[in-house]
Amino acid sequence: MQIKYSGKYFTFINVSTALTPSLKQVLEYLEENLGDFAYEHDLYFKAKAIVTELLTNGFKHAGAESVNISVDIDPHFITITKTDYGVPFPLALPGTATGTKTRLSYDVMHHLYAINERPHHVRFVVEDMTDEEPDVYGIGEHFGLLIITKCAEEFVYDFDEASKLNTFTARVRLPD
Amino acid sequence: MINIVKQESGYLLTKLDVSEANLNNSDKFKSGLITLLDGHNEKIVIDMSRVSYMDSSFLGALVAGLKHAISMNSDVILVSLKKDINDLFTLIRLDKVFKIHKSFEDVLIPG
Repeated sequence: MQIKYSGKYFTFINVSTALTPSLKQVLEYLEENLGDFAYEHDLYFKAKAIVTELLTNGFKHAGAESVNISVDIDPHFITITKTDYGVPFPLALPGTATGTKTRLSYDVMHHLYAINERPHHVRFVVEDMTDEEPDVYGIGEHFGLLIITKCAEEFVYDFDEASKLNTFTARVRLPD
Repeated sequence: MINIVKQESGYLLTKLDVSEANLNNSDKFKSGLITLLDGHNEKIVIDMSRVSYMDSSFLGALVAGLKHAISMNSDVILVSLKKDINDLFTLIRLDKVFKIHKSFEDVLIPG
């Protein structure tokens, strides 16, 4: 399929009842632009999971009145960006040295880290553990950032000190 | 939200009566599941066929329910997951801790 460059910017009210209707708008846009190609390559599943968790995370932690989601499609990536003016991600604030690798969560199946690559910029990475029969008591109950990190080829956070804008960016690679 | 369908051979078959399983109903689901576990000796089987959307809050509630079940030598078994929901469990490897079957009949007749 020939992928055309396209993009759309959405603004949603940040209330819990708006989560699913907001998600459906984004998915409709992806379906219009990628059609069956998205289903064939699990792109729809990954985008659905990423947008769901970006919106849920924004509602639970950002405290902003509204959130913005932009979806940009090019021949190589779907780039999903969430911006808001709510509470910043704490590890991107001054005080965390560049190069710091902070473990955000860990259990018997995954370790999730935030790496401060430069001031106000964090990359999320996950390491899978090898336990094939994990003990349920060793498993956490917070999966939002983990889901996004596992669905995306790249998942990063940026904080703009001047405007106080928070930007989460997740990129999903399209098959060649 | 969790409707009891039938009891059979040590299992309590229930059906989750929501299509959007997210933070709007995860706390209610968790307390309902724990109440069911506390009030029944059977293992709880949940038919998830209605669920089209699930977020991390609801996954957390399911894991909390499973921990409660295991602590009382019971279990929470999931059946009839739509593909996206099944893929979500596989993505974060929750398929390693939940017993997931195609149908209630598959639970009764393993293999």
